[in-house]
Parts: sequence; structure tokens; C-alpha cells
Amino acid sequence: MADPVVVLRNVWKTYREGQSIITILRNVSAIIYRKEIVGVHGPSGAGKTTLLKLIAGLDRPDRGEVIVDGYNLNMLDDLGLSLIRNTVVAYIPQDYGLIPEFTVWENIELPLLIAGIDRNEREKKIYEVLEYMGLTAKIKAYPRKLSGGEKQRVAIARALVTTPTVLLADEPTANLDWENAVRVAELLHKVRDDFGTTVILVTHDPRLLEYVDRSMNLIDGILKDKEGMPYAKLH
Amino acid sequence: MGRAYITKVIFKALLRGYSGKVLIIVSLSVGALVQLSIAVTPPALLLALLVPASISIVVTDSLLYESIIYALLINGAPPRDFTYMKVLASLLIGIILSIPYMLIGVWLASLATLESIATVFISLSALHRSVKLKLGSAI
Repeated sequence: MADPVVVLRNVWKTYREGQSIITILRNVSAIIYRKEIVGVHGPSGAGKTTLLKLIAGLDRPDRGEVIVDGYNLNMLDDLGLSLIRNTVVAYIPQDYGLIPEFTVWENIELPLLIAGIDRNEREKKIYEVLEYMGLTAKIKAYPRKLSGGEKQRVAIARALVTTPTVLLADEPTANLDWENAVRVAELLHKVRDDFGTTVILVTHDPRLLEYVDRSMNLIDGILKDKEGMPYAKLH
Repeated sequence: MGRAYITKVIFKALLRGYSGKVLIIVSLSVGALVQLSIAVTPPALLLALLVPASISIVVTDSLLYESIIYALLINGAPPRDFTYMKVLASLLIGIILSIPYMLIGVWLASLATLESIATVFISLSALHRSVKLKLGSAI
């Protein structure tokens, strides 16, 4: 039986902008299963990044529940959410989120330092992930010296080094040409197959949806399946 | 280059598990000792404090909020550490940046007269006015 790893239940999210309140997510519900690659597609401003940030524990819903790998994120305090971000989910922002002052090695080391892993274990894990991603020649390089595709691979390497259950990628191919975009999509498949990671990516590029197991549409804060049925009514 | 280096040193020290309390105590002690050494001459002390303080505020704000804090947050550093880190980083950056100004302060203090400090300011002010006038005439 399929194992649900991310459950969104009647999630609402609003932001205040000056005097007005903008509703970003409207009664969003969805179930994402272990080892699935799910693509969330929608135009800019539809709420895709907000959805990812809620699953990553970077933000909290106004109403509704977000459950990740059995943890109800509503029940966790800031420290608990930090632990989730460090061990259960990995979030790759659109701009890759690399620290420009740190080398490739140091950027990948960051989550392990936060986790308090000892030096020998850190080195072992970083070498493994660098080899897996084909980045061993770039150990001492700074992000500014890397191409867009290489930066994305470093960001994925940093995400993988803690072997998370869920990998969240915000527009992973937005800054890449199509050839590199396909490479990243194939890499995400390899990651799923090799590590059993659940991958959720958001994109405005419909071509990328050919590379996912299941796609969802997020339009004006409402999550719908391919046939246009709101997920809120499905679950 | 200098900014990047300072950032790296501070965050590596923190992330590698150096005790924040120890770092704060050490940096405060060093800062206090240096500042005590020039405290006998109030104008020099003022110069030594105000300039690095304003620079450290600017540097800290531009440096710490964007890429680094975000990278720490998404990789699981608890948000409550950020304020703590920011304060600590501000202190360290402030103290590092203070050193040359403090040395200038000590040098000015060694001149031992308020008049000599005033002369420096007057000369700088005259230079500023002259540059402004030249720029104005060039336009």
C-alpha cells in the first residue's frame, strides 16, 4: 500500500500587504507518497513557493494541517521545525541558496555542521555526495566560479548530504537552458531511485512536467489535479 | 575581500561549535581593554567609538541578513540563533573594524592636545569644501 509522506489538509495561507490581506493558498489539500516525484505547476504568484515553504517548515499555515513524514508541523515549535529542516526535508530555493563566501565543500558541509556531526563523519559524507554528483573537481571552487548547472548540482548535493526523506526544489530549472534542465530532471530521478527520496518540485515550465510521476496545478491558490479537480474535494 | 574573510571566520567559528559565550566574553574583554586604554582622552575615545560603530552597523546589516541567514535557515539552524549570531557577529566585526580607528585614537591621544585634534578636523573640513568647490566649477 502506498505510504503517504506529505499530507496537506485544508491549508490556508494569507499575507498582509499594507491595508489589504492577500490569500495565497485556499483550502489546499493533497497527499504525496513516498518515492514519488510530484510537479506543482502554475503561473508566477500562484502560491507555489509558499506551498513549498509550508512543507519545508519555513512558514506556518493560517489554517489547516501540514504533515511531513509523520510529523504534524503545526505541533512543532521553532526548534522542532529547524530539526525537520535539518533532517527530514531539504529545500532548494530558486537562487540555490549557496553562500558566496564559502567554497563548494563548505557549502555542502553547512547542514552537517548545524547537525553537530563530527569531522570524520562529515568528511566521509561530503566525499560520498561529491562523488555521486560528479563534483570532486570543484571542491575548492566558490559559487561565483560555477555555471548555473553546477550551482544546481551543488545545491542538490547539499540537500542530499543529510539524506532527507523529502527534497523540495523551487523552480530547479528556471536559470538553466533546456539541455541542463533535462540533466537536472534526470538527476532528480536518479536521486529518487538511489536514495528513495520523495521529490516535490514547483515550476512554471510545463515541459518539466514530462519528467514527473504526477503533476498538480496551482492556480490562484487552489491546487487542482491534471483534470482540473480541486484536491480539496478529493481528500 | 575583507568583508568576505571576516564573515567566513565568524560563521565558521560559530558553526564549528565554538562556544558563543566564550567568543562574546573574549571579544568583549579585548574590546574593553583596548577602549579602556584610550578612555583617558575623551575626544579620541569618541572618535574611536563612533566611526567603527557606524561602519559595523552598515557592514553587519548588509552582510548578515541575506545569503547567510537564509542558507542557515533552510539548512536547519534554529531562527532564535540568528539574533544571537547577529549580535555576536556585530560585536566581532565592530571590534575588528575598530582596531585601526582605535590606533588612530591612541595616536591622536598621544598628541595630548584637543587643539591638534581640532586642527585635523578643520583641515579635513577645508579639504572637503575645496573639493566641493572644484567639482561645482567643473560642472
